[in-house]
Amino acid sequence: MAELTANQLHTAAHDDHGHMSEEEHNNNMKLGVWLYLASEIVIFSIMIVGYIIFRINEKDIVAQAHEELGVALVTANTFVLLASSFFMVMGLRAMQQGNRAGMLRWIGLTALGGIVFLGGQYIEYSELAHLGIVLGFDTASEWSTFGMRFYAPTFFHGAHVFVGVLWALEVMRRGAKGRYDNNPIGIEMFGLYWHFVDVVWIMLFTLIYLV
Amino acid sequence: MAQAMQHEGEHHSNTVHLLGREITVEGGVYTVVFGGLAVLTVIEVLSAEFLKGAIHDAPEAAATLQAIKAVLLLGIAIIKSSLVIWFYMHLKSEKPLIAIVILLPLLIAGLSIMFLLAIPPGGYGI
Amino acid sequence: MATIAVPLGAQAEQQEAETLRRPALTDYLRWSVDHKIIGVQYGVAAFIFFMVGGAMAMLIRLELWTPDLDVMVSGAAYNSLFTIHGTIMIFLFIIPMWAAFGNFVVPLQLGAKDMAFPWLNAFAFWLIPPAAVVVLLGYFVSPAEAGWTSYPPLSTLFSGDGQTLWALGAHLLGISSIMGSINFIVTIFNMRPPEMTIWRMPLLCWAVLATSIIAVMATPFLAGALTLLLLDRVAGTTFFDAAGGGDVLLWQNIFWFYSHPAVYIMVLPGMGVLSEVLSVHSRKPVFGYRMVGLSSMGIAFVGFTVWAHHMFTSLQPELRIPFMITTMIIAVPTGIKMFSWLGTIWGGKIRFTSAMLFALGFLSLFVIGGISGVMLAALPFDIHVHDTYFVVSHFHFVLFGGSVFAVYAALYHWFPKVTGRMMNERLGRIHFLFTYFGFLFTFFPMHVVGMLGMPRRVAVYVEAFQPWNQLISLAAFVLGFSSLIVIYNVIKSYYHGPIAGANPWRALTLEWQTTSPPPTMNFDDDPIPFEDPYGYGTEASAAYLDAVDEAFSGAAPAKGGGH
Repeated sequence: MAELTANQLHTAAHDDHGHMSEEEHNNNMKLGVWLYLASEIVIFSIMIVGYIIFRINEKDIVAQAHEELGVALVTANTFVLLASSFFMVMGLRAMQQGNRAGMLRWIGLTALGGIVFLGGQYIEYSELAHLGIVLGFDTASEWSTFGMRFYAPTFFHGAHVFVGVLWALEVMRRGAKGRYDNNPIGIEMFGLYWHFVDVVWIMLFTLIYLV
Repeated sequence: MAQAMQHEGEHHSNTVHLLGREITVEGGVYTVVFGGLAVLTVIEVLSAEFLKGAIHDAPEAAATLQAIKAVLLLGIAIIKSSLVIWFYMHLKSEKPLIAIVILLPLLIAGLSIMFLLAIPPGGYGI
Repeated sequence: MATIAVPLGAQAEQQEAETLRRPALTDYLRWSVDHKIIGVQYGVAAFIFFMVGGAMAMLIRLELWTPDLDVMVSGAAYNSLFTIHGTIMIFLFIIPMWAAFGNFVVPLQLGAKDMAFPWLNAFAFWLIPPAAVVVLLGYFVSPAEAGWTSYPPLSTLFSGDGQTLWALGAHLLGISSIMGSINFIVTIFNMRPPEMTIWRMPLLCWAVLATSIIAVMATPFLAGALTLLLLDRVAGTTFFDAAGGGDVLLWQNIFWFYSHPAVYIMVLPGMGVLSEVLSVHSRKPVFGYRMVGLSSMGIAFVGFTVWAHHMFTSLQPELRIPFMITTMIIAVPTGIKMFSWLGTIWGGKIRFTSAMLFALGFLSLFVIGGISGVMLAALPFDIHVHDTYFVVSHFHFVLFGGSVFAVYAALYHWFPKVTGRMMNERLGRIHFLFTYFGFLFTFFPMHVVGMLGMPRRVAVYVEAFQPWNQLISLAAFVLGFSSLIVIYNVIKSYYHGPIAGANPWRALTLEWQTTSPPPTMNFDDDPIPFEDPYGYGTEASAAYLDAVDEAFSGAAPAKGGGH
């Protein structure tokens, strides 16, 4: 005991959350994630507004882009993401029912859905690049000002999906060790994030590809 | 605590009351919501394609149709988002504080978006 | 622990030091998840940046001593100098400084054992040093020249790579600020003991809550804008470049969506500090407690509707009047606070401690800053003094006369709690006199030169302004010197100040109902909040304070990490 410095004692005391009940801890975590998502809403709104302004002012370019893009691939992708959101909530439900194997299966499907979505986005980006739609401004291209408005929000969202996939794998790793058997809050937090990413996509899909 | 138990039960039950009928399906309310999301997405895509054709065929009514299209599709998107937030993110069983946490940034972001959209194209021409 | 034979005097000294149970100084240099350590880390780091930014201000004043370029090699060098001065003072000093006091005091005032997320708390702090390195590196590589507001096209077409690093650093600081604020909100909502109801919360907690709400809702605007700016600079996009179909005003709008609310991030905690200090040191209840708490929230919300007053000269004319009106409305909740502060000290038993002096300094200077704010809100006047030293004077009155004076008041008020020793009052008063008059003679004449038409952000000016500028520079050097006094005072008092005891000010809020400095888990026994955090002057409160004094005097506190 004497060898431990005050700092180490302190770290130990704080780290095990000895001063918090499980319910308090869960409530804190959930409120924290919701607040984080609140700030994400604002960032995404900035990304989206850049597109909407463009959409209103440059109707012809957008109409042309819609012709080129088509809706088949992106609709399929949307279904994949919606389904992965469903898998996610089923995974949480399985863990709440004490079914660890079921949870791992569902979260695995969630991660798979995220990977398939990213693959779809990659195919789409390649097609667009083939058409000459690039991120930077290029006076030579008729798409000169469309690319950045399109890529910024969709890529920002894709980055969130990528982080979500990594998080899902981490949840599986921890879950396999039995980390969530008594308290599935870790899964619930990831779920909040993943559903939020899904909600953002629902809005982006409608705003960018359909309207 | 009793309330919490009730919610737990609701999430875990495979039976859902929908439009006066009882539906039993693995996953209960979650599966039903997923079905709703899928159907709404199909409706959304089909109506978008249909209206796009209509705008193409009737250029004189393009502005009106475009407005109808935007309102309709955004309405469906908002319903879908709300379904996910309400059921999958369990806003349904959270404290009102959480609803405030999510509505406040929407309000602020909405305010800023409305303002930015009000800027006329090509600047103010002062 | 081994006993070492020491002379009697030294032994007494050592015993005295041991009863303080202070963390070792090296603990402050390490990763720690204790909110008390993190609070001090924030405070010291922010103060170091304050000194760096202050040194740059001295250089600016030296340059302005004569109407010609002499200290700086070029106008561009002067541009980058005031850019880095503003950036450091806002992003690296004021915002982290309030995180310092928030971190140390808020959990104690609530009666909580720590913040809600101790690890996240430490992480948010440790983002600041790398961010500062990135920002400062930018200054030495190829400095940003666009001012702290970084308006394009200055920041996109005319600034060096330092601007990219500036944006990256600001991004990191924004993330740190969001994480810290989430932590505060969750702590204040969820970590209060049951007896600490929302209407018993001390006003600093109300202010920190309002500040954190603003930070969580507004800082992402900055993050979004900086992301687009980085893309413009690095990836060749043209979001803010009119030549490429972009819109320069988009930056101004998004930036001020963040930065106007951020003005309140910088000053609201100071207002909370003021309510604490004025009430304690004049032994009177806060006048209109509920209205003061609610006015913090009012400022937070109205603060989101006034941003365009920073753009009166670039905004479409029909929107000027609405923003003029909202800007004047936001003076109302501020006026409520001002009224409450005056009502609080009115007829009180005022003790002119250093903390109280700085609080009174805040009152007098913030009123001037507030009035010049309403003047600037008035459109005809604003267009006349736009981009002159009048504006410089206004925001230094609210940010230095307001925030920095509140920081000093908070320092003198809570130093005994943080270190267990009192600050030297005589040095505190000298510090106050130098700061107050140095400040007044630096920034008040700027009103005059501003109205005479001296533009801001230029190193070369008309010769007729030279006497004014020399007066301002002289006073600024006095102001700069004054901060050396407080550094000396802090170091001296840390080692040799008189032992403070648990409650030197006889204050009723909970942070004083524990030892100074507080034990590992803040309270040895669960604290019992007094029914009213500011109920001074009643017999019940006197009895409560006597009981506290008795509980923490006499018997030396148990050694070691006893909870």
